[in-house]
Amino acid sequence: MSVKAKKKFDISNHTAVLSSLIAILGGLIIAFLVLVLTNPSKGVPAFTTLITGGFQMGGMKNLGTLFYFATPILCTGVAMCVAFQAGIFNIGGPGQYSVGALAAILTSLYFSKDLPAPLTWVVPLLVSILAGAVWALIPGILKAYFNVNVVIGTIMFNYIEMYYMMHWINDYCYDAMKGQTRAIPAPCKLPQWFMPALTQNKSADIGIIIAIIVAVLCWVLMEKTELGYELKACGKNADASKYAGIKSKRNIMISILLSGALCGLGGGLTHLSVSGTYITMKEALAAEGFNGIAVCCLANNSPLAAIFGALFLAFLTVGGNYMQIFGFQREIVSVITSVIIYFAAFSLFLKQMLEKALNRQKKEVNKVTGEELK
Amino acid sequence: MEMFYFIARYFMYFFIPLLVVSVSGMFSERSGVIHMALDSVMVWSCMWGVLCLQWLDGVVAGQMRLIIALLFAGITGVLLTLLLAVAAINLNADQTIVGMAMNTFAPAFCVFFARVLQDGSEHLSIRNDFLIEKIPFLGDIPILGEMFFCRTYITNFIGIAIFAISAIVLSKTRFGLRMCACGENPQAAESLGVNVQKYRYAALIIAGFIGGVGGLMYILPVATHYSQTVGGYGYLAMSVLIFGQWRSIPLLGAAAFFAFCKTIANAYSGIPFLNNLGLPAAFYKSLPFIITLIALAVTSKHDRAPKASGQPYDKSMR
Amino acid sequence: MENTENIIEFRHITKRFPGIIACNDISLDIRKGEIHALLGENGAGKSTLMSVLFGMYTPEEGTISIRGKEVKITNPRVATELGIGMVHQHFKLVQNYTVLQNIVLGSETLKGPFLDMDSCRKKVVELSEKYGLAVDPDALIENITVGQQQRCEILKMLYREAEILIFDEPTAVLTPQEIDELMEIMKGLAKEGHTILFISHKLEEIKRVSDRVTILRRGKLVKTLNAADTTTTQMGELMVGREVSFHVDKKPAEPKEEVLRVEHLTMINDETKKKVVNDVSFSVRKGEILAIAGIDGNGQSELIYGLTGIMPIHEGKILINGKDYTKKSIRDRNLVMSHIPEDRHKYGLILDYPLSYNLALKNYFKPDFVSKTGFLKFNKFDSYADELIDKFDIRSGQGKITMARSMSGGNQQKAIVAREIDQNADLLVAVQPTRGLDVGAIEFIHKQLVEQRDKDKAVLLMSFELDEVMDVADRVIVMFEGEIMGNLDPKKVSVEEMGLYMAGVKREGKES
Repeated sequence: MSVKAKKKFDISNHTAVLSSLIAILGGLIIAFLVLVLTNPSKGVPAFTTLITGGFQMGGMKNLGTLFYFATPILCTGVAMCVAFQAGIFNIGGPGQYSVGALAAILTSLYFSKDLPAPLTWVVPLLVSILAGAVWALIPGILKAYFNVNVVIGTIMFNYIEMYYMMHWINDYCYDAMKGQTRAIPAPCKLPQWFMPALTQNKSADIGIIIAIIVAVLCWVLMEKTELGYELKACGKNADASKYAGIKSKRNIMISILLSGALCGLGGGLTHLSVSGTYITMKEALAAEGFNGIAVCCLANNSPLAAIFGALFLAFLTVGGNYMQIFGFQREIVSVITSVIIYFAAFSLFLKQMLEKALNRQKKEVNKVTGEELK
Repeated sequence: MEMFYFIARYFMYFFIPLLVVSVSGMFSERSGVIHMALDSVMVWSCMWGVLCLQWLDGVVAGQMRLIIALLFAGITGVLLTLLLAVAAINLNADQTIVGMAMNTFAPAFCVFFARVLQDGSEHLSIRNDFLIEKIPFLGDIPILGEMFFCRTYITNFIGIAIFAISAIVLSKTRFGLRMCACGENPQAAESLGVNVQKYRYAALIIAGFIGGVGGLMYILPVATHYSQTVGGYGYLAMSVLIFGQWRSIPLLGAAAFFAFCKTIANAYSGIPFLNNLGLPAAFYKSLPFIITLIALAVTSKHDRAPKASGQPYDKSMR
Repeated sequence: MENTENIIEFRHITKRFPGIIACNDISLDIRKGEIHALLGENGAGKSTLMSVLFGMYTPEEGTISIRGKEVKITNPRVATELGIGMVHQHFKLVQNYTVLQNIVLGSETLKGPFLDMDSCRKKVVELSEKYGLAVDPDALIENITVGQQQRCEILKMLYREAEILIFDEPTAVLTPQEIDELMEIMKGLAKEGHTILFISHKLEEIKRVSDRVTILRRGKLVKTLNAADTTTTQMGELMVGREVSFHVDKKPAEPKEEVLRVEHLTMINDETKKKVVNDVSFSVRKGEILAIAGIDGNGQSELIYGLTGIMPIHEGKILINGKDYTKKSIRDRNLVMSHIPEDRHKYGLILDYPLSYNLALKNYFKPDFVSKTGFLKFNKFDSYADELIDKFDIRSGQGKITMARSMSGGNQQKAIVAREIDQNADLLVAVQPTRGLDVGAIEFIHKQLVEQRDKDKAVLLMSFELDEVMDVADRVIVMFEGEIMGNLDPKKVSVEEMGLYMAGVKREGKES
């Protein structure tokens, strides 16, 4: 039995969830204000669309879209959870995600399309995982052996990816007619199994299932295993970990490579999806990478809770797309995301305030019942 | 020789904003607040500055239009930086995460806002009539005149002035002495009656203003329209700050070094030798980022970061 | 005629912190020009009371009057304006500022918009000459000794023309000789009309220097006495509320074979390139406690870090049970050496891990605690934690699932001691094991150390507390500026003589 599982229904668990809810609420309030202030007449219906995820317009078909949006940010979100818990602030999500995506595209175009059945999509997926890890390798080495701030290191690699991406696309997989990467061969796309039936969406596939399984596995890794114990120890107190004989360099490398691999997987799953997507020739960082940070913040660094965080953000994204009917830009979703991250930054403070407030209440209750508070 | 002048001018275009924005970061970090959001301040203030230029077009003529827009950009920079200030100073926030939140916020909001403003297009155009062909007298100095005082912008001189004044403020004034003490040992400062929160707010307000000005300075010489990006300049400025070890004079050298890389990256096609090497454009474009990493790898082992930087100052924990 | 004019009057001061009442209805008068000592154990409330006077805490109840007028001291600035200065136990100095910059910070003189450092320097030099506080105004704090840093702190108060001077445990970091100098400085200051409040738990010092002494116990004022009319024994009894033996009961040591042997160990600071540990050789044997004595900052901490593998060593050899451990990993060392670290928050505990995780910090990778597939055995974690909690009486709010952060300092330390002693390693390295603990906990830990010795373990104790060294150790080596000054028998050496070694004045002929 784990220590956590044995814990009674603890007040601190409440406050963590509560502070996430406050963050969400804060984000929504800001979004509401921005919408109403920019266009008072359309602001309210647009906001309603946003927070209902467009379900009253798109119906159940939206569930498939929701899963499609949730898949990449769940992967990058879990990637951030693993890295943050180990004390590594991996901001390289966009780079690792895009490299993973490109690796999946290239592998399926040049190599795996003629392989026997499941390998057609399994191989590109594995290559995308590998590619994501490779892109995290150098920032990891720089952090572990040269003490280079990992935030700076990974950000620099995002930009290096951004510039090289266009070069690579141009040389290997450019569809000049459409100005984007070439389409993935059909056999290389992810299988669909029962997903279309479940979501009433023809192009739903098993991407979300893979992502959820990966999230659960990462949770088990962090909470139940020796490696998880060491990674978290390094994240919580690097000096004490060193004192206990934990090899910090090795753990930095493991956590950042794992994190990069998960981001790469996100890129692979998205670009091998049945719905299909492309990389365009634009100097831009992949938003999916940054949104992982928001998912992780919402989930309070727990890979398990990240599932809900990712679904929630995807829900908003779907709503945000429908909102364009009212002439609003979907960037508003990023504004909400940023507010959520902002609130998460002082969640500790929020938690303390909440705990204080709750304790005061508890004390008063105890006074009434005459219990001695110890 | 023409090539040399060309490179020198190009160099200044990159050098000045990098210097100014890293000075902004210096104020923040020397007072004890990690400023990961330099990029967002640049993106945000750049938009407001460009908008201000548009509003003033036809109202105010000549360099005055630019100066007012710079001031306006600075003020908007302060407003955005206050988000960091409140979170870091009052709410004991994780300053890195706040920075990331702001970096997510600014580009998204600016796209949203620009599109609302212009019904769909996010690109804001800039009418740039600020280039000074030749400054009287100074422009006639041999070599130097051609390098620095011809085909130049007023922002170059404002940038140098900002750096010089900042360096003096930090090292020679009461404000600097107290502010830096807040970044090194806030408990010590507080015990001598220095209000740490007040000084950090002051530092962040200055940082916000300078950062905002730097945002607009960045875009003028290098672009004809604004499209919600400053090319990762905020992050480069952070690297300059680390490379310059948070100290004024080394900062000057670090900024010059990075600006030189950036100049090569952008002007290589005009330099026959580099153009003939046949390396992809991507290589030159990512060169400043690669060099940053190498430079940091060499210098990061022993950093002289302000000791209290990034730690929330909790009055009750003495 | 004795001066009986009161300069400070505390009336019914009460200050609460979550869970404890730090000051409980304290009323106290301080006379002008006296040296008034506040005596009490850790947590007795003496520091809190002084922090209230200096405006760092606001009391919930009670009033303070200065020079007959009731005042509200809301922050240190107000206190400074009232002529109150304080030398904190942990100095409040900016490490990379000069002495002069530290002194003027907060009370600068200006020339136009700029700092006028020249006139400040003149004033500082005058003050340091007048009171015999020799220190170079242009030296960086990080480059000067602790004693000089303390002088800088005193100058800070005098520069602000403070009349009431508070010293919070000023002697804890000084050599006996430096303590003598400080006592003279304090007497000189009192003679010049300053009022001195002096926090200490060292009875001898109080007897020597103070006019009156007030004893606090668990937040309450016990008694105010004339120092001349009392004895240290009486003060000690009042302080702890019972008769105390300042002596650790133990049999004479019976050293057996050698466990640890250190040969010519040298460590170099990366930044200053100074030899912080210089050619140190010694050995510890089974069944003895060897103490490393010395003033803070003379290489003892580095020596321990080098020994335990936390910092790299430059030259020399470390042998444990005859095997060369110089290049071994920390994990390998941990198997033969347990280590109670100096800084329990930095090294000893992972504050955001529950107690059971912390107790397993040195064991979690052993087959008992983890399956072959890498899954942790939480049953074992729990039963092991219960066992240690029971054996060492570790108290916490929720037992083994309590976050280490929410435990009291004493119990955090007990948890570390429990974990390390239970390693059953041949060598126990204990660094400042009793820092910040109350008398009960100190006694407990000293008993544990002696018990380990009697179980034929080798014990290496590093402590800045000379009393602890003299009481607990069987053999003492003294370090000064990275070198060993002497290898002494605490039963044959007086405290004063030990002080000479610690100050680098005296040195033994070479021996290991």
